[in-house]
Amino acid sequence: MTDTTPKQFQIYLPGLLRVLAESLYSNERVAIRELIQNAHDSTVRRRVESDDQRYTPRIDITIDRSQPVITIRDNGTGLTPDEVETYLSTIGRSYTRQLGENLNIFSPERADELIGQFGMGFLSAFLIAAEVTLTTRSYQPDSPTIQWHSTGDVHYSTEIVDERPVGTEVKLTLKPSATHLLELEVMRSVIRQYADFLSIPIYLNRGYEPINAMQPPWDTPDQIEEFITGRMGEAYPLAIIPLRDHMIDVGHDQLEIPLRGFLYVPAVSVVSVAEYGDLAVFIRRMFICAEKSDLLPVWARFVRGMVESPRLQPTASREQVQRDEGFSLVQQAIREQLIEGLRTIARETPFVWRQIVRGHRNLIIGWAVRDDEFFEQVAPIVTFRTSRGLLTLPEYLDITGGSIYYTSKPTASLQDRILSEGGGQPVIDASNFVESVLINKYADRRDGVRAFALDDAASMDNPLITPADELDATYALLLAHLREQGINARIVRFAPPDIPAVMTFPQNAEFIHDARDLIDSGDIPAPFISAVEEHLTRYGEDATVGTLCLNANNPLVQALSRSTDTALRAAALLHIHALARLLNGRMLTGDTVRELMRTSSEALARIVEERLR
Amino acid sequence: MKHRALVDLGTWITDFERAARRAGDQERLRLVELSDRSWEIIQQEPERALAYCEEGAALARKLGEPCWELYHDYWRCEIYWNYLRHSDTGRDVIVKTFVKAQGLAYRDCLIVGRVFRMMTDMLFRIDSDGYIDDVRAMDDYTQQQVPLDDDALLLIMRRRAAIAYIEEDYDVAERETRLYLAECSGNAFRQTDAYILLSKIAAKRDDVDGAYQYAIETERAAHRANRISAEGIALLRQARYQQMRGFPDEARALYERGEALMTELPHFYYSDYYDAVCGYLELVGEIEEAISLRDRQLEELIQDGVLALEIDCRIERCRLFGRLKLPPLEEELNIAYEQARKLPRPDRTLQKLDRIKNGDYSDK
Repeated sequence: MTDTTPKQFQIYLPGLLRVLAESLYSNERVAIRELIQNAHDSTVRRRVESDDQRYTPRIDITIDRSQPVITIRDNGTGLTPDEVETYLSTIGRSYTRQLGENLNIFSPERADELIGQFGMGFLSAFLIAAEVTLTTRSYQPDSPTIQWHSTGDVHYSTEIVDERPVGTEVKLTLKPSATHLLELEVMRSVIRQYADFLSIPIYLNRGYEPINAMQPPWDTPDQIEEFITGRMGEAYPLAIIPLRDHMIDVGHDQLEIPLRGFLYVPAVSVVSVAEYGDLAVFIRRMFICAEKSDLLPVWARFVRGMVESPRLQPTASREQVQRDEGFSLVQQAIREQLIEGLRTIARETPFVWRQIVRGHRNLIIGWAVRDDEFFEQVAPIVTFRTSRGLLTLPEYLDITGGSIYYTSKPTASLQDRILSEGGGQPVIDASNFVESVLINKYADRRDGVRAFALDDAASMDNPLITPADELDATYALLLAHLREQGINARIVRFAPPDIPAVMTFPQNAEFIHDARDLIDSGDIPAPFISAVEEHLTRYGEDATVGTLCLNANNPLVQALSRSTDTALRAAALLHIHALARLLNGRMLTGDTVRELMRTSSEALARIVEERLR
Repeated sequence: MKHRALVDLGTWITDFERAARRAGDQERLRLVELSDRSWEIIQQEPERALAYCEEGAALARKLGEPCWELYHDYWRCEIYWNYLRHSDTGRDVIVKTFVKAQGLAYRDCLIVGRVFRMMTDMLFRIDSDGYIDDVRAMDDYTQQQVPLDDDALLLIMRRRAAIAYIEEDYDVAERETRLYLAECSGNAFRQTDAYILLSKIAAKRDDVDGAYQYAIETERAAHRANRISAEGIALLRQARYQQMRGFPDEARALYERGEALMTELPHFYYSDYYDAVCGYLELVGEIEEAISLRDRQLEELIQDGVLALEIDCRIERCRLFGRLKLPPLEEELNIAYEQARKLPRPDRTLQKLDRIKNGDYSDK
């Protein structure tokens, strides 16, 4: 059967009401925001439409805990009987949107003040109220006072009641689940959260002073810091970057993005635990959402702020902003102003920049490693702990001329430290976070710069130990003697010259040594032994054999090479070997140390005996 | 015999986090956060996840928290081995972590059970045929002697099923898988593995309908668990089976969905992926594409350096060439024999090659 006649959707109104009222919004506080916004728009409308120069808009919120009732009253336009029918009782039809569209032609700045758009905000009253009574009288001459009443089902009623002042009063008889809103503190925080910057004064429980600030802090840039520390209750920020209207290059043309607000750098952050990178978003001075992270660049986790732009469009629940073209443009504008702002800080107030780097060091380093653009901005100005104090990489390279020496392990051995410092080069302590990754990235991106990890200062490719194979002939007797003793040896040069020799080991020597020890002692469970042993064979037979590196710069080694006294030379070499093993400190057990001390003592005894003879 | 830990790993982490939060200890909180962050991105950005683990291990060392150090070390192993598929580095890291875990400082760490299991995983992948008896002995030891958290125990159960599957004892494999599935109740991540195995077992028995139904279950469970790779491969397997069941249009749609999903991952050269895609392409006559994919797989596996996996791939190539009567078969078979003889225990693999040599090209 084919029937092409257009048909109309059937709407199950109670279900739709429940969905809209209970599921569109994430929490009860939003209902208060929606009603304040309606009240606000109503006063704006009266300012636009009436000629009354003495008109002073205001919104009053009162709480009656005994009922329990919350009342929101405004002295705006009020509604005529027709408007009640057309706009209040028709879901999705917004008077404010229609007024805004009309005003856009004649008075765009006034249109910008209006907040409502969707014609659904009033429904949110049923999120918190079991019963809603709206009493309204239009400012238009001879308008009656109408009372509209609903319990949130499909029905509502209206009646003419005794005359009231012009404006609208919404009386909410709260559901048990929303009674927390009866607390004065809670209501104060709701008003301040959502409506702090609305220009219309809001009075709570007939107070003399408005509860809202009425002016956003970005209108008075000098007071932003006070706002952050006072109203926001945060610590003094390290820097503030005010946001302003921004020109964006769109290829063939330039586009102006209206932008208000500010960015600021909090005092300190902790990676993964206390990161920022979020903005509070306002649209037409009404708070939309906090902790909006995607408006800032991903690397800006050390920045927070507030932003307002008519380019940002709220979603229907007004708890988020739409990710449309306007969003992307605002995002770009913020990114460009942030980069420019940080550059200016680094250039004009380097002291402040250093404070920022200190307070957010790990975040900045982490993101510089990941984001190339950010890396170029910050890598040259991040300071590192070095053996000569705090230095930036360019400052460090001024000393070394092109090589970066760093340790990425927190505890270097005594031998490592002596070699590093003895080499006459400052060494960067890159043991924290991903500092070593940043250093290597820096070296990769700069011509003529090389980075050397000194973690394995004991390994044979240590850049601070220079091979001196050309001296093999000179030291042939020494090397031959050591080989006879089963000791691998080579001639090298390193600083300081006071050290006659160091031991070097292949990279995995310690691990292999430990693993074999565990197997021998029965600490590896039997079913796993063959798997571990099989793996160890992959490293090769010489994987744990150390090499004694005799220092050709050392006077003792030089003297021994010239000595003709074979016995003395043999004893001295054994002593040097024992010292080098002890200095190296790796893979030493109690037995090994005792054996080395015994060898060393015997060697010294032989030398003494030779002298005495 | 089950040897379960009294405290689950998740509870251990939660308790630790709660204590750190109470004490306002941000550095210890960061240990937990680093673990969470790493897990969130482990599939799409394994390199970054690895950086989080390395940072976590370093921080734990600094704070004197050996169990957390081992915990982050263990996840480094997982990432190298299962997500980055850097087999050489992975092997090294796994053995080093295993040796480290024997130290006294780590004796009471709950994560030790997983480290043992990981070591066994490694051997199982290096050559599942050759090391099958060692793996069984290692699992027995781990289950009886080492306190295990629930997940480590489940994975050992899963391996028992996988071992039976490799030994081609499908009745035992099915029973073990069902036992495993019963233990996985409410755990979509692990249920996925069970359905994968059940689908494969059904396929081995020529039960195409069963294989297809289990592939659907795999997809659903993988989706719930956000296991992108498993979900994508399940779709590709469904495509293959639907093609066999005579629904080519639906099969093509499933194939395209599966391929689209796999592009979300930076690393996806699991053999299951290639088996599923090549199986489908062969059925629809896109032979060149299937061969080219097997070439790519082989190249990746040679680079990966796990000989047994390379040989498995060569076996699949031989079967494909054999079914299509393509000339490279003899040459490929010779190379496969040559490589198989390099395995420490090549018997089972050589038997598979003999079957191919005798003209049996099925993947049974």
